[in-house]
Amino acid sequence: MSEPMLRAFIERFCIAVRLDCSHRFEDFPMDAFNSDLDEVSRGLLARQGSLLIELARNPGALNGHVAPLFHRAMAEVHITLSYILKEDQQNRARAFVLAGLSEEKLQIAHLERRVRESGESDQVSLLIEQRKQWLASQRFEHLTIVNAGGSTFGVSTRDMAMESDCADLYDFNFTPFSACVHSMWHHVARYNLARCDNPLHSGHRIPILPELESGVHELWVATNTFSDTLTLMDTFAKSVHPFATRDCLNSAKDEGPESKPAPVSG
Amino acid sequence: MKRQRRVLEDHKQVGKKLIPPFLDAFQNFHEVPHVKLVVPEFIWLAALNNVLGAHEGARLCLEVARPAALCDSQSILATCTSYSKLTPENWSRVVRSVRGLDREKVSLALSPIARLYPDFPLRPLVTESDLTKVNDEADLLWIMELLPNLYDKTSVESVGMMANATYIAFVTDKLKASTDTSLAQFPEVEKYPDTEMSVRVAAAIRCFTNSLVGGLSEEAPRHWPRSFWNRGLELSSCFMEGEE
Repeated sequence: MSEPMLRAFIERFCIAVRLDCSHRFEDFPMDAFNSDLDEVSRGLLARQGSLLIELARNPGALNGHVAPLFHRAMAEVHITLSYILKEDQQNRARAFVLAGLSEEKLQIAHLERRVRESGESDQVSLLIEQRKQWLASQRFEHLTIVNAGGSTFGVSTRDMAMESDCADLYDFNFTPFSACVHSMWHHVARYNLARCDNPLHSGHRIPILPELESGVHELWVATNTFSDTLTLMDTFAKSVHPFATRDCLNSAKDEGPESKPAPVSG
Repeated sequence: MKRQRRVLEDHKQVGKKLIPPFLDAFQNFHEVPHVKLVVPEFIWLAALNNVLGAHEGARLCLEVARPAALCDSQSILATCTSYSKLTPENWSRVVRSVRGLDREKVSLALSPIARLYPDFPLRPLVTESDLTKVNDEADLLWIMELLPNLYDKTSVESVGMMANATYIAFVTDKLKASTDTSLAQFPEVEKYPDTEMSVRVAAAIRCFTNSLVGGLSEEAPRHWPRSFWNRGLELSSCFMEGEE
């Protein structure tokens, strides 16, 4: 595929993502009084869309080094949203918000300590002030509880997935791609180490920084997760909409090899 | 409805850990890595076989091990580490016993290792003359061709060196095998891997040599294997196939 064709495809794809999101934004039941649920739900869908758009816009990231970072983040968005919409939606949405405010308060405290220990910095002070204002716009700092070690909902991501019928996503997407996110051994050894072929060296592994070709498969994985999230929103809102993003990717496949995004070296 | 999660059902759950049945059954399981430990310990036996042939290699390893066993009745004189415990007096006795053409052959076979690896425990068996025949390139080429075959513990070369170690244990009266075991059919290993019995005997040999090398780690801090592999890093650089 030529560069102009690739750019045109990416633009069509991103438009399709936005279209899919906007349909679900409109249909999600809103409550201006108890707005946590629709803010959190539509916000998480928007987050899903942003992740997919940014991945599509950067074809060089469509490889084993980087794409799993996106896949795992998107899987977590879906699991979180599934858990919230499963039951007790208002309270779970509220818990999600409070967990974020808790983290924000803790982060501000760390920054203030840094300023105290290393001296005043105008930039950091400005950052602290902005973040305090953001926090204060939602909740007084002195009324914000900090949960220093716990999870958002008091249950593990695994348990959230089991409860909200996302077991397969957890087992085959979230968990395997966590290896890339956390740079665990089973990712690092495959992608950044290779066996030394010198027989005098006991077969030890040596570090490598391989250039990986990009593959449209990674975009499919992300699109599938995005489509699952769209389905979740449709089910909750009891609405029916087409899947423009998936259709866009399908039509690119159907149009033949000339139209497919070309592999791009990272 | 919660999905049933039933993977690794045969594992025993202890807290958050799932213990494999084998580890659960053998609590004090001790790993003996073939490449890291076994290969360096028996490299001298592999060298004898490689340079002199399997029959001569088997014969000459006994010519070395028998007098050495008289000096150290506790150890099985098959591993390099066991030879590192011999005193200079012990070595004089061993060298006197391995005479004439046998000494020349043993020296020839072990000399590349002695020249490349200053810490080689069987260095006293190599004559001064052979030690000074420095030819780094040829020696490196030789050992770089020898070692890859030994990485695979089921290769003919690996089984050959481990068979010699087991032979030493038998002949120096340190190992006895019940008639109903595979190890009792030891001579069959000559036909490895062409007969089923030879394959079973090889498996039994590996069990024995693993326990022999594994037992060493209790007494000696693995000096020779560590020295062997780290010396390799000094002798030549890392490379990957396809690289120039």
